Amino acid sequence: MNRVRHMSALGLLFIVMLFELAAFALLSLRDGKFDVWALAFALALIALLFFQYVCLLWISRYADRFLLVIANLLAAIGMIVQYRLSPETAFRQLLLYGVGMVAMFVCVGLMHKPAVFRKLNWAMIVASLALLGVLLIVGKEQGGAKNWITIAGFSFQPSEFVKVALVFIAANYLTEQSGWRDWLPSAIFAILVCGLLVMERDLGAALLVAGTYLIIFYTATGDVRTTLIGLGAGCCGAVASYYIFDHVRARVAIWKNPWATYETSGYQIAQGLMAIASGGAWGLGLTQGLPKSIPAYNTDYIFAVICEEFGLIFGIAVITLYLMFIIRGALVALYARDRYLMLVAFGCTVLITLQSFIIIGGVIKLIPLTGITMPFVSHGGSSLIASMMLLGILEGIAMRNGDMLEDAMDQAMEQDRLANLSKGEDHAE
Amino acid sequence: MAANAYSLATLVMRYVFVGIMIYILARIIYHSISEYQELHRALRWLKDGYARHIEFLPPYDTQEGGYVLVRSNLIGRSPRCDIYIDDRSVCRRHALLFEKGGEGYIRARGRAKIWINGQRPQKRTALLHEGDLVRLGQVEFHYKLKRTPWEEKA
Repeated sequence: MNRVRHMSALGLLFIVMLFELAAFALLSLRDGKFDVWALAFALALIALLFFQYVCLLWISRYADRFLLVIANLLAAIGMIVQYRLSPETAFRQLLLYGVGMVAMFVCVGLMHKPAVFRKLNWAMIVASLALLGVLLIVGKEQGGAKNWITIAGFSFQPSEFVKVALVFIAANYLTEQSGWRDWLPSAIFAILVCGLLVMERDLGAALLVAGTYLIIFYTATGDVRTTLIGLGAGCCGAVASYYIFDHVRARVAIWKNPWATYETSGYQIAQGLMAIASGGAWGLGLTQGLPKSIPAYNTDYIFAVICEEFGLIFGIAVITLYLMFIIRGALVALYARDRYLMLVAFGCTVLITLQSFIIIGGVIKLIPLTGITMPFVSHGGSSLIASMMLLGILEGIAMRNGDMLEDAMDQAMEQDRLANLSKGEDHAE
Repeated sequence: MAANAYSLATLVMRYVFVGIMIYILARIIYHSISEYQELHRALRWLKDGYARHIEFLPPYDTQEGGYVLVRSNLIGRSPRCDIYIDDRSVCRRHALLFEKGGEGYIRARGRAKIWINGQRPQKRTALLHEGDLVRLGQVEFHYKLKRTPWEEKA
């Protein structure tokens, strides 16, 4: 009985489902005829979300329910927009969400034995570098970046999984705090990964990896000087790549003035900005916008589509959801009893939120646009599965935290009982 | 005509979507704050030995060290209660122990009766003080604020 009680989030999950059902009811009546598949899709998604919630709480009562609800809501928004854009990709996305759910449960299971990851450290380093190296030779180019690989008919993006490995590798080397010799291998690894990603023209992933590593590094060591040096080195690298690579220069030029090259390269950003502007505060209404005029409308530019049809207020609410994800994830990291797990939890949180901010910043022309996906929302199998893995890792750590707190409280109770017994004996004498 | 009605529906629904979204966000923020407070309380209990808790008198003192209270705790005979007493004299859902503004309160549910230090409280909701003896049916417990840390006793 002596436990920290957690709030139930089932009510919230029902509201998420209601939201989704309302949106799909609207979509099913599109074009003046009734579309049964939209409702079937909605019911399948509801069943999946409910199954996921119940299963996770069945594994442990200490699972962080709100992280799950936030991820579910983002995924639901993503599915609604996907279905509105094209039902076929939405069905594929639903299938991938199911696969991602399995990956999540595997990660939750693996976090019961986090030592496995520490033993697999070298394997992860070699696998990450090999995957990215192979990509340079056999990678398929898609949307300007050479970051796709096809194995047996399935194409996937290795950089998504390298990010997850990076969190574990960085946490492994930063757990010991005795000096620079401990963290040097992880820094070299991060620089190598960044370099390879830039050579593959996957600038978003490179920025993400560099940012995540620096933030984990600062959290672990609290060393302001080295972090600033790292930040400076990152900036120098960015400036150098501006002068070395044409595609970086092109991106910055587009960002500075997309209207100058509206007909050609600036088209995407300009269209995205116009979509956001035409939505206004309350949006044009679901199915009333023209999202297909934006290139990459269902992956990178999905935020512009959300803003156009649901409105700017809704878009800000989506950003706030990511902010809440930081807060919940940071709390999980804060209560972790183990330094390694703390760093892993914080790294996962930073990875998901930094990714969302890089792409949202790109879409609203705050920073140069770099093509990465919006976690949980965008269409994209690798990205969705990697995000679900990160969520699973966070949930696994939250469960361990709860178990450890309960054990500590039980121990304190036991100590009290012993003390009371000895006090009783003193009185008897 | 149908197309007009549909576009009108989408225009109305966008307010519903924004409303639902903001409601969910508000709920998440509110619950996160209360959950944080609960966790904070548990950690404080571990460190400083401060916690609101109740200690049952025999023969119901089965839980060593009593029950630590959270923000609101339902006491009763139903196994679904937070604090569950298997005694015929206790109602299924007998009373609610809750915290408001840093003070502990007890409120009887339905027709259930409670006695505090041998007297029926004047109002349905009663303020509890350190060491109060509360009786529900045949079951009695003490309301306590401090769990004396082990080091002090030793």
